[in-house]
Amino acid sequence: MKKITVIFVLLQICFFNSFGQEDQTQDNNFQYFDDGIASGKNILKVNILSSLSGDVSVSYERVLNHDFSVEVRGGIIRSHYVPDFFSIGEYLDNKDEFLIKGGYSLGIQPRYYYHSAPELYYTALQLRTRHYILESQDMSFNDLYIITGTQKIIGENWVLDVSIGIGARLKIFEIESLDGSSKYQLGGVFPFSIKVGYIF
Amino acid sequence: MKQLLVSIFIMSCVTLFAQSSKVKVLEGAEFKESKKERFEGIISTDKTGYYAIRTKKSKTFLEHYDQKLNKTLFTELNLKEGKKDKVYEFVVDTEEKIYLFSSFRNQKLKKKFLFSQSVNKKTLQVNSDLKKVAEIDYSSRNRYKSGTFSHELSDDKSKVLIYYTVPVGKNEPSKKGLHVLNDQMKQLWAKNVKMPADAGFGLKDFKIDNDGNVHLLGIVYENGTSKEKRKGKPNYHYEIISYYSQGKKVKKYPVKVQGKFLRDMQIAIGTNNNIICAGFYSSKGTFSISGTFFLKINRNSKKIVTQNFKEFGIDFITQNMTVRQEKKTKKKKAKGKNVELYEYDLDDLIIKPDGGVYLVGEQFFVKVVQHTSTDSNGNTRTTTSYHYYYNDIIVVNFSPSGKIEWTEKILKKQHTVNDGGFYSSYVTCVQGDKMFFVFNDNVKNLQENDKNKYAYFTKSKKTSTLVMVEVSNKGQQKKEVIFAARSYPILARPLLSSQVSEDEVILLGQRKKVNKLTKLKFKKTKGQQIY
Repeated sequence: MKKITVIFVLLQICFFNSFGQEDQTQDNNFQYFDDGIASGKNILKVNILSSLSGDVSVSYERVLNHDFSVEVRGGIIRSHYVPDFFSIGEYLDNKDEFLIKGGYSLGIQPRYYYHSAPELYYTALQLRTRHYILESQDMSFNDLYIITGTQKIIGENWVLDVSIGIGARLKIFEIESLDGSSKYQLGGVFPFSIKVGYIF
Repeated sequence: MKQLLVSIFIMSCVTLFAQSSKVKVLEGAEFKESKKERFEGIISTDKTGYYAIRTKKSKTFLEHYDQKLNKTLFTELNLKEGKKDKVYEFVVDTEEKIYLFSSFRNQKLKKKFLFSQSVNKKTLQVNSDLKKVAEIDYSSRNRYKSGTFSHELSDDKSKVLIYYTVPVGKNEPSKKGLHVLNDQMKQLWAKNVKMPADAGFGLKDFKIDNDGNVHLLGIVYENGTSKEKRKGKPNYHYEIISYYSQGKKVKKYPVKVQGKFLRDMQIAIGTNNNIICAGFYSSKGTFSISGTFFLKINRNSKKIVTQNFKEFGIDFITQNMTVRQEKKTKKKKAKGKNVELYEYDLDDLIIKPDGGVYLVGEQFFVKVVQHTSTDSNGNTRTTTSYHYYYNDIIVVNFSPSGKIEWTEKILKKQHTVNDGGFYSSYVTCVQGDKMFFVFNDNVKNLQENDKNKYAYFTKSKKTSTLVMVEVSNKGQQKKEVIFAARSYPILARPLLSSQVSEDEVILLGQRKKVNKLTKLKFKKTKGQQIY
């Protein structure tokens, strides 16, 4: 019985020793891969320029595979929203007319990265809608455009995303008139955005 | 009608006596490849067959083909380490094993690590013997400039050299990191070496000999400027820097030719581990060459023992020119003007068993052509096209003492547009002191002796043919057909083909999405010396 016990204990030691050696090898290599960065597939971002213009929204980007990611955004339109750069003058002259009662913005943007998602140069298709209510009318901006940009990871977790694009905008005015009809206006759009974010 | 019948008769004659007697051809099965896939080449051979690398975007695959070129295994190389992804760098084939090298950039430590892992040849999976072999500290730079690793293998495959640029401060001389490994990927020695700190230094080539000594070839610019010319004269010289005794002893050998612009140099490790350096030079400092040079450094004395510079003769320069071109060139020479060969690149330096050297070069240049047109509405449109020319091959034979024994030009005319030279250039099989050059040609040239009427290769199935030119050790050329027109549906891509053993070349053929591997086995003749 004693002999069996001794043999059993020796076998256990050998077994754990072999695993121990493997663990040591893995531990030795682990130091090279411990970079303090989460595998980085999720990014939360805020668009600085659109926030300044009154469209305060948050974006969430999820990396799908080595080349692709998708970004969704949602936000609120604040009371003194300026829809585009060219409307700034008009806004400053007629601030009261631009007073918004409420609004929201939504968007979706699938991205293709040329290097490795979610870093460096990418091309994306953006579909975005913004809807808000003015004193006498409802306004909708529906944009479809292609953007190209670059996204850099700064430090361990911070992200800077800069992009520029070109596309089309469909404006829908719903005016309180006698027949309740809507007006449509199609135009071009040249979005430029700077976003900062956090990758985790 | 008569002309048509004669043409058909000629084409059928060519088709009939097609196959060369000196090479056996084995065609593999056809396989389809997507646009994003890329065959990188054969990396290893053994008794079971051939191993190849294929890439598809960020993924790397290892393939095995048997001796009959049937694909037997295909697997994606696993580059994951836990949740982290390593990046594929390169593969090294020693005599016994295949080693995968991959890297990982650690943003916390600001270091980029290089790892080696052996590959199981039966399963094509990486083994769990991951080992760090080198690292680059990029703390002085941002993550996107973390450097790249390069490698060289010694001729006997017993030593591996890993080298990289060490990030340094703005005013510091540049440094290279050197790591020499044995065939088990164990480090023998490592050292950071300073590069010459003159006006500028351009690294051209790295070599490692069988003893683990490292030899570097670079251009050193002079007089405080990195321009090639200064007052019409060369403002640079080449330099070989050798690291002996595990990097502890450094020896420098400047290479200069008075008043000549050295072009396209290469170094090679010769017999008895002597260093051979050879290349072309120009008198004008333009994109042309007028002569060739040869240099040998004795490994024991570490001194230059042989040095020879030789201008090309007018007969060689005018070889394969049309009658009109030949007359014009000879007239120019007679007036005392420099005549040179235009745009020749040095491709290879081949060491012969007797210690001599073959220099092999090819004429290659790209012409950019812009064409502007105006339509009926007055709108102008400009189109740009890139014309790729891969023409004659030149071979220079140096004796062990550095004398030119002969020079030869192999007539070849390949001109394609906007395709990067997809089917152009050539692949070589070196068998002892004989060479075989395989390339795509035009079927009309098989019967054509008049240089003035030599036709360019075209991709058409009716006219494209695969030929082989044998160059003997005495410089005699003999041209034979491997694939005749019409029996050659999938064109070879010489730039992605290679010699895999002493008598075999594996050709990659491609037509649109269809690929095919073809083995050319060159017959050995009696009394032939083999490397």
